Amino acid sequence: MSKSDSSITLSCPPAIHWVKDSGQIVVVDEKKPATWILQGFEAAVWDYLMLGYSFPKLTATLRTLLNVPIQEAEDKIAACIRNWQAGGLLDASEVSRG
Amino acid sequence: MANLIISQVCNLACDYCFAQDFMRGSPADRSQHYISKAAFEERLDFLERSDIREIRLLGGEPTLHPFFFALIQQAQKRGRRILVFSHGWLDENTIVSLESLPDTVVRIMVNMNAQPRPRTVAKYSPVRREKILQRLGTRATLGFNVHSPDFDLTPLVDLIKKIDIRRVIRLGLAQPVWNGNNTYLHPKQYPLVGQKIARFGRIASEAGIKLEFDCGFVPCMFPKTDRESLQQCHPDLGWHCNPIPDLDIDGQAFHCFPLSKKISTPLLLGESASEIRNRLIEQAKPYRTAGIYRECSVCTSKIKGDCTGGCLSATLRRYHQATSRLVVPRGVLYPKESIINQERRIS
Repeated sequence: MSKSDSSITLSCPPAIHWVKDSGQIVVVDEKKPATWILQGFEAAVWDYLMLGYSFPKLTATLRTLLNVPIQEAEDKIAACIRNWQAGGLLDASEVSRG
Repeated sequence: MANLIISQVCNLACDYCFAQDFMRGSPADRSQHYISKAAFEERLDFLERSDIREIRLLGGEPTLHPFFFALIQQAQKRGRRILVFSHGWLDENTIVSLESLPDTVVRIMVNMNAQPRPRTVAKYSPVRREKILQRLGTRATLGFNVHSPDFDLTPLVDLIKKIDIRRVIRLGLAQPVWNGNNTYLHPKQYPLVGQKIARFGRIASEAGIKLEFDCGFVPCMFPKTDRESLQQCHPDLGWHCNPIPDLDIDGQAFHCFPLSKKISTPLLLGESASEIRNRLIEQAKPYRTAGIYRECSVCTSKIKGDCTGGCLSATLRRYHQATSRLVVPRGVLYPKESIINQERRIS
């Protein structure tokens, strides 16, 4: 199986807590400790992520909201996720497509 | 400032008690519920090296300590004023011993809405309450914890007018214990409570009574005009939620009772209160961006530091643990890696 066939499962470490404020989302990493302020597109991605949206649904929703091609929506979401992964807001585990 | 906890025991049962959690965590052996004389001496040393002028004693109910008056005498030797936070239902021995000291030495902050259980027990009658306060005289200051919008403070004014006690009322807002289940005032109820306090502030001012606020009040709970008149009549009112470290009987310092299980640090040998306070502030810092309302994090009063955004424990109730999972195709998340793999397969 090649790596490109697999999927990544992302989840938040237990130390991550968040709150939705006016115009922004505050995310706290209790372990580090550190605070992230998410606004605009990032806040929207986080919000849908926490609502339990699947990746296709997340992409479709944000594509509609931003009025951009699906590929651009996917790229933007992926950039967000990579950023959060690097910051420790998301942990990844690899799963095969089966 | 710092508060010394000398007892983990209380004989009342207030629904809104912020110390419930703290007292539940105490050991089963009752002798371990009270501070020892030696540990108390260490705390007094701590206050002295921290240059803290007032010795503030908390519980549980501090007057239930079997050697309460001995501790008072021990504290008195340090030449500092003593403030005892009490429910005020004192036994005869305690009253007699407190009567022997002037109000320049000891003061009692009496929680006027401490709740006995069952509530009908005769020894908790208003008549007895009045008699005790009369005997405490100017040593006594009245306190009241607002835990519901349904409250009436005018009887406190009548009481102060009737007997010779300090012309000050200290108001507190019942705050939620972190991960606890006490009764508390929800921030959505604050505006209603604010209106009532503003009205009461005028009545108190006319009677020559000063209001003081405990932590957790926010300016936006008062209509703007009322806020201005309140501050004119009672200039010492503040909007803060900053830790005054509470030191428990085992030498652990915490941010406040509601957060005793969340934000705490041990008292280390030779440390001063400012070092402890800084550590507690540092622990609380990540959560401070938000406040009790959605608007707090972008509110100019908070950004300027005029308001801390209300009680941190109430703020923490707004936070959610991030539990979601998302499955993303690897190629979408790492497109460059995917291209490299494809190139490798082709070659």
